[in-house]
Amino acid sequence: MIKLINIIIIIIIINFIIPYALAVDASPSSEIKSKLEELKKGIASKAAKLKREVAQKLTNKSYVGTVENKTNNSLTVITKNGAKIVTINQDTVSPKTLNLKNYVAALGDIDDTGVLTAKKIILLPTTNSQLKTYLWGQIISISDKLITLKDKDVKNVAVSLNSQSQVKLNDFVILTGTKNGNDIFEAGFIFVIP
Amino acid sequence: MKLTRKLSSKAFYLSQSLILIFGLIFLSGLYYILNSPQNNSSYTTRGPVTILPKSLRIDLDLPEENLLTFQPSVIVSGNTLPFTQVLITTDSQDLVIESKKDGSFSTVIKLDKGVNNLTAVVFGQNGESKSIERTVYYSKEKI
Repeated sequence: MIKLINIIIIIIIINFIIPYALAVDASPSSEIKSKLEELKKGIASKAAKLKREVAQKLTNKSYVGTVENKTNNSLTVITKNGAKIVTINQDTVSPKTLNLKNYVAALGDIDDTGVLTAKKIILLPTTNSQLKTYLWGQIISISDKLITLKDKDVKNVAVSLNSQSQVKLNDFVILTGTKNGNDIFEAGFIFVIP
Repeated sequence: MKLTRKLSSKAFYLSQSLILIFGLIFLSGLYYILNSPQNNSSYTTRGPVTILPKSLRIDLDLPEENLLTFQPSVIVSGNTLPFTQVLITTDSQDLVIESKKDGSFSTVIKLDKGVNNLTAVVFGQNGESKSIERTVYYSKEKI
């Protein structure tokens, strides 16, 4: 009888305790494996997305600036971000005459070093107009179409407004426009800060 | 040590059962310790303590610098301080939008044919400003 009970206990141990103990060891590794697989898939899809984004960032680009140097198959264009190299090939559509100091837009794709292979080069008119700028300030006086602003440096700035502008004394405003020869800021846009 | 007394069958069953029960309790405890969820607030998993800079800043995600586009409008989006007025200005268009709670802002700007110089500006309480510029070329015909 005792032998039988012993056998039953051994069977219970083999069937319940040992697999349970093994499971304690086995389950984390299988979980890690599945997590690793998920991670691999995630990395692969992110890499593909990144690749697409990089490719997208290199296509359809433009360099706008002044021609500083010119050879048969390249131009150096001085843009607002510095000198850029533009390569020209037999497929490039460009003006018949292109001279130094010409203001141009080179359109095409760039490589990873920033060199643009031009598909088209457009000669642009040189801009002589006043540069548009912006201004922040508080209105300290209003007279007809002219107002005086106190800017961030506590300097007074005379501003001419168009007739539709509705501003009040002490308003804080953001303006865009140009400065004329008389040092008057000619505002084209006015925004009253709430 | 040598057992001289013969165990009764009742004592034997009891001892075997106790061994089994304690074994199961021990293994259950071990399993619980190994598989209990990690405390996420532990200092090892917590990121570095960073405080958002309060100085004026502006970043533009879109449009990209030197973009050549064949669409007549472009999305302007970026990030600055929360609830801050953002002036977006081009040669022919001006508008002011306010950034959201998270500092993000987004709008659509119409483009002129050719070169478009786009500037986004934010202003602080005392008029100090930060700006960022983008050059976008709009071509009506595909090249």
